[in-house]
Amino acid sequence: MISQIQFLVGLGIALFSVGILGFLTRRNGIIALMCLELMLNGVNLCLVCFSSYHHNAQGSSLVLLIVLVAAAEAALALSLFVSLFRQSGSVELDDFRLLKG
Amino acid sequence: MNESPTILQWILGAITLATGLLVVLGRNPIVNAISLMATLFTTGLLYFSLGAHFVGVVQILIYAGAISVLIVFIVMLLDLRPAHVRVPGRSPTYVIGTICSIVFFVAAILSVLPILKNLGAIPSLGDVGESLGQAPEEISMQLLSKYMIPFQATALLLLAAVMGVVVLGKKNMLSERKGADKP
Repeated sequence: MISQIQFLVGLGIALFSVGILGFLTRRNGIIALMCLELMLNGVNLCLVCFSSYHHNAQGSSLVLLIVLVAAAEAALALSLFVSLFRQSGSVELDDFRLLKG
Repeated sequence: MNESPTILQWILGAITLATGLLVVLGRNPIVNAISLMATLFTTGLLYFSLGAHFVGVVQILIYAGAISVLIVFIVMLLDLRPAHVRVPGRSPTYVIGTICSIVFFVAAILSVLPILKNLGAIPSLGDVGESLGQAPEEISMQLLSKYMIPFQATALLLLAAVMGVVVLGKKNMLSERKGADKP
């Protein structure tokens, strides 16, 4: 029988790898952003689990910082996608290959 | 010794994983965004079950309340429909991405879970079901003493993000300025 901490950390790892799967396979910019949030969420779950195990607030304060950074990143990325959509009418990442040699 | 997960945690974990898979596999971007919201919400409920009440509230308020609503808003604003979203075919990227994520999952599970087996159970919760060290006072003590500089750096980061969003949101700011230079 698996213990609680194994279950929760395993769930965090599973969320992270689902995020990797989506980030590498889906080519829509906004869906890639959602998968990024999913990966951050898996990491947060592991941090809260260990913080609760150790009776220590350090993991939870790190989670708060991660949530802040994720909010800033989501706002910036979404406004980037809006201005990209205004220019070219698409948010598919395959359409933006100007940097590819 | 090894406290097994409660039934509530099994149910919440199953919902989290299922909706997380739906984020990746769904064809309709609205479905992806709504299931992302469900994933973030059930993760917040898992934090509550761990006794981390404050972090759970923050997760539900900021992640499930603000960020995912912003994503739904943008999906609706850009009017993304299933027809516009290209389906990943049997391209090499698709196969390599799938293999990479499965390899990462198996490797991480095999390397981490045996180590965690030696840890004891998560200590029992206090009177109000809150784990020790998860109260807002203790988290803010950490943030304002040990993590003071990262905490202040997030203020700068938020300021930079707000300025960036304003600049990006202004329509053709750069081209107007370029046009003003011309005689």
